[in-house]
Amino acid sequence: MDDLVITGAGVITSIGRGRLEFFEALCRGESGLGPLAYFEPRLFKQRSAYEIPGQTEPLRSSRLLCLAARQALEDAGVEPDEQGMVVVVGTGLRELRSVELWHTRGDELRPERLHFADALREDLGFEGLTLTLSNACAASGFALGVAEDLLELGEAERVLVAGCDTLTESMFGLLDRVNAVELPALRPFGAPPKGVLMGDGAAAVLLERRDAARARGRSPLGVVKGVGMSCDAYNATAPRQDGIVAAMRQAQRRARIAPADVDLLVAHGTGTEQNDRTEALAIGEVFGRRTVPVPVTGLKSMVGHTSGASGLVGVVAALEAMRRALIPPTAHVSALIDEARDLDLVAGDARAAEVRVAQVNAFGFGGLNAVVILERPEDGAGA
Amino acid sequence: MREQAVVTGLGLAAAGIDRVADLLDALEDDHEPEAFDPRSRLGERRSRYHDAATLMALCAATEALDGIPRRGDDHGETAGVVVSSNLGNLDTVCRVVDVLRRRGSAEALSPMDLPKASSNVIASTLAIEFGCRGVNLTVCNGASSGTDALYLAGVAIRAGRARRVLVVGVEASHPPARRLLEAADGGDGKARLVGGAAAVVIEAASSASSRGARTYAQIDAYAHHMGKSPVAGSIDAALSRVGERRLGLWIVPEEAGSPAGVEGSGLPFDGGMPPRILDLSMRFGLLYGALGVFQCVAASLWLESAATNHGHGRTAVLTSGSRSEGASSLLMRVGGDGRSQCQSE
Repeated sequence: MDDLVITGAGVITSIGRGRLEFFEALCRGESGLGPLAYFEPRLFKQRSAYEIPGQTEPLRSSRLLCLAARQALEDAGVEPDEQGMVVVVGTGLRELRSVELWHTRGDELRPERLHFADALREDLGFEGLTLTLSNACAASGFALGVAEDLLELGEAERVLVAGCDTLTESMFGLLDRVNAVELPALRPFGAPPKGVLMGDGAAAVLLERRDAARARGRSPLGVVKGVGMSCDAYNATAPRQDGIVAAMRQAQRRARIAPADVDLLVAHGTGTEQNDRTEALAIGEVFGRRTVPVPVTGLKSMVGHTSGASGLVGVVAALEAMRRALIPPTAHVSALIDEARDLDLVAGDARAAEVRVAQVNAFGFGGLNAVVILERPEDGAGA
Repeated sequence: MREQAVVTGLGLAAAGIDRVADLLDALEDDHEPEAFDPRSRLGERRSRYHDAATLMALCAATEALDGIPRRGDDHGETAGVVVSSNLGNLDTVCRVVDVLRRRGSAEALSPMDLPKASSNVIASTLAIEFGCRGVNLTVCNGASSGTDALYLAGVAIRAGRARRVLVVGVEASHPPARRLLEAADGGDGKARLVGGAAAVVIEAASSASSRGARTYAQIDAYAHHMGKSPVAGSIDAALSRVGERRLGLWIVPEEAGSPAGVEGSGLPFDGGMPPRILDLSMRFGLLYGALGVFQCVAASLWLESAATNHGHGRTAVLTSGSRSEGASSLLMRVGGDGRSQCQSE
């Protein structure tokens, strides 16, 4: 099987849009945290989030998706009406925010606006198959895994893989209910662990076979070596170490690499006690035999938890890290939880380091695990 | 050699049909669509904490997996779940924002609602209940969602990611779901959503034959089509993919209106016989995201019976979709046990 390569990427988060601007903001350790822009603050303890303010509601997720998709297609030099293209969208919360506005404010909402085929047709003129997968916070990782299968089976010529999410009041409210106090920031692996803060975001990549990219004269941004997809089948919200370990090993097996080959791990790192302890222990279990620990970074310290988009947001960051030999830091974290003490967490400033192979973790409610292994292409596009 | 995907288990959660095997007979009845009560089948203890869609999904899945061994190499990490539902958790989302407004504080919310605010709650509950640790997808793709979910289950098997996939299509008839769909229908009352779930176990043919499984049919080709005639276009594309020109059974999409009038499409005949046409909406009302899986259950039973009775029908096509989003068609054919029985004659 020919390698699958990413030839274009797009991203929009609270700290910047476009893969170059976004990555530079990450490396500066910027934070997208701001006062709640779309909800009534008095209903919540938490009065801040990593939102993208200034958009009209409803249908914000659809708009973010189309922005990221357009960037990725332009970056890859592919027209939206190209034959043989399939779009796979991973989303945790679909347009459930628009459902809330329909329900509470009487905003118009047609049922087909809950997912994304309509938006992509209207905005981009895309008339092929769009698959919307609602796979919690691991959604865009799963979307990339499905895209890998579609290409390997010859079901598509190229796949636009995307992730998108905006805060819903219901999810924000329920997380507010379980967080004990108002959080000053999301601090992956930080001590004491406090909780998660949501963010808006969308990301998209164009995936195709290497020979197809070569025939179009495009240099890849990265190679997708393998995607692991699994479910703990254990608990509705809590993660489980052996499930995460199994997903990481599955991804590495599919990519035909060993833990020692990984030069960067973009962690899921949500700032919650359950995720961060479990993920840190799982990383220790998989990578523990290395003589030099794997550098780990947690991007949610800057963009918040972008829910279903977070996996691909991490992928776009990892692509740039490979291209520029620079690892963005886990910002706003000083003391670490005990379980993370042996991690080589890149904190403070961005770190210059050769990154040939990167791993991106994305986990979600229901014990969903998606793990992506990327490789720097030998014939890659220059920075 | 890629694995062939075959159907080895069927289940339903629909009012008035106690056993899935009774589905084809029930379609002949003149019953009005009515609501299904999952609690009566699951009992109070198993029903606690789950939303209505999850409960119906559990009912249908329990029946589909009945008699299928859930240990060994073909379960656990190689067992996947694919759920199709568009409106599943809208009841939780609307109730939570109502409580926020009425009580004025997030402290009034119940943490038990946290997993249900995420649309994958059905698929993860099924995985937990049945020990499926493989790929787990929730497809929310509109009118064609059920058909698309079956396709993705087949993809997971052909790509070697799973040996067995539980596919469930489910929509619950809670007030937000009804309001949203009925408004879209122009509020003329034609669009009735009573809710229900259908489940199908799709398995790698080699797994099914190695355990001597009852095999209803095989899943052969999928196509999606947008444009002027999405329905005819998707049927034609699905048949063309495997060079099939005969069609024994066609199960129509919801927007079809009168089945006979669907685009007057020149549907291919099977051995000179016109295809039998089935419209599930007469019996079940609107099924929306659940439709494709209901259709697959009906087609599986029909193909199995055609295989054993040597009927003329060897092929069935399921079509779902809408004018604005395009249509998806799935071609199923007699396969597995049915085929071998006929060849041995």
